Amino acid sequence: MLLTTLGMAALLAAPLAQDTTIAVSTGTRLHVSTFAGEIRVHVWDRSEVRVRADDSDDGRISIQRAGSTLRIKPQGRYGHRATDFVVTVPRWLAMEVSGTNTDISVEGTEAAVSAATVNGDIVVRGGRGTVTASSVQGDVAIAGARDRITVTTVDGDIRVTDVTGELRAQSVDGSIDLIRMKVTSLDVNTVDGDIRFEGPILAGGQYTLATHDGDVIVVVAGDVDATFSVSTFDGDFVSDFPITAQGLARGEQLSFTIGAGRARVRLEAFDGTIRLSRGR
Amino acid sequence: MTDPWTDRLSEYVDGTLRAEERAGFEAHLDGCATCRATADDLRAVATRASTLADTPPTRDLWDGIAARIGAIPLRSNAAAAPGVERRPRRFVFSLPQLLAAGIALVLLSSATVMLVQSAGGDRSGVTDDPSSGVLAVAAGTEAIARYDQAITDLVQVLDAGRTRLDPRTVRILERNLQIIDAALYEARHAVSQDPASLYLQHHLAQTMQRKLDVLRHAVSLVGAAS
Repeated sequence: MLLTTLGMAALLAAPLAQDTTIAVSTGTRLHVSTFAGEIRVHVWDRSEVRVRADDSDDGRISIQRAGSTLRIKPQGRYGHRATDFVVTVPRWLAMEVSGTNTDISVEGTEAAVSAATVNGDIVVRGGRGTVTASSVQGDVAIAGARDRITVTTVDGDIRVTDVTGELRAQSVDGSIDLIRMKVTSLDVNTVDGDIRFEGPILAGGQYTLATHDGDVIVVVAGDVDATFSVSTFDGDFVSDFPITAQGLARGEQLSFTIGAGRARVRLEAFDGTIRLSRGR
Repeated sequence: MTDPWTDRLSEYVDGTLRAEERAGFEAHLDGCATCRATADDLRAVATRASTLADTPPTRDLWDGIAARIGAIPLRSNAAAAPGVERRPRRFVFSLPQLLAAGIALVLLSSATVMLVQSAGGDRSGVTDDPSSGVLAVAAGTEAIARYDQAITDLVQVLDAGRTRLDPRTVRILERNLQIIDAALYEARHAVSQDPASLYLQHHLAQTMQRKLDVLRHAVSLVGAAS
């Protein structure tokens, strides 16, 4: 079924498991939410949104368009059933995807993404502009995003790969892996977990990696042209680079420059090892 | 993203930035009213701090833990290797310490705003202006007291609304708050051992921020579940 909806607002109540397709125009923003279940978003090259759903209570879904926003959610009282959504969207469609006991995955988008859940994992592949992903209990993985990326979880690991732009990532009890980074601004911290960064240190970039109880491992690809600030209270600092004084006293801040110092790198591990290595 | 220059304010006011960094910072100041105001405030604090006698504060700055500020002799640093700069220890009543208190104050201001909004209360007397927090930074004791009060208030809101949350979520939040509390305990203990450490001051403030962040998030979940 193809529904072309124009005008101020339209409300559709579609039986679940029905395959519903809606035409959308440039500038449309998608909101998908469910209390429990899974939301999977894929992309295609059509200017249409296809919604498939599977509901634990054979309920209905609400598809509502108001202005430039298209909202999809289970119809009726929110929070008392599980609904799985598979949504296929244009790759340019900005989206906000949220749930409570919900796993979220977004694959292949070239638009802004906001993904938030309480208990569940999040996977986002792609994303441009502002990309945010937030969970309370769950792992978060971001791959191939560009521009401004923010990733947070309370109890879970964060893995970010092949990202370009600016990245902020926070966890409390979890590790943070940053692989093949190409970022000019990086601000990551966790309380109980390791942080690993692999990528170039770009001239003019600002990088902060901080953990309370864990190691900070930085594997630098290419030439290094940065001023480093390294701090620990009850940990060590080890470097592959020719820094003759590698020891670091308790609570002390060690600063050194490699190259002309055109980037700033701050590495902090209250109780853990800070390791600065050369990439291959 | 946070303003990358914010972390350099203290060094700028201290006059420890390199010439090219200072020039870059001043170019940034031309276009950033917040940093400009904060720098002015910090200069005022620095001026005030410089008039204080170089003696240990007579009152606790960190809720009793910093009672030993200035009481511990600074360790002698090993000779720095070529190309390696060991940062000099700061005046015990240091700018970073005050700034850390200011950071906490700014954070609790926003936390309080959120708290008042979530409770539907009156916002009068609550400011959103981050520079105003720094103005009060010299009052470190007050800052910590307000931080503690913000934490208490947020915990009360969370306790009142905990039945609206999934018990599993409550357990996760409580467990992670305990992790942060353990980190705070260690950080405060470290500050008491080495009160002149800029890093430890900053780390303590950052950990306090994490606790506020988690509590604020938890309270927002309670609000969303209402």
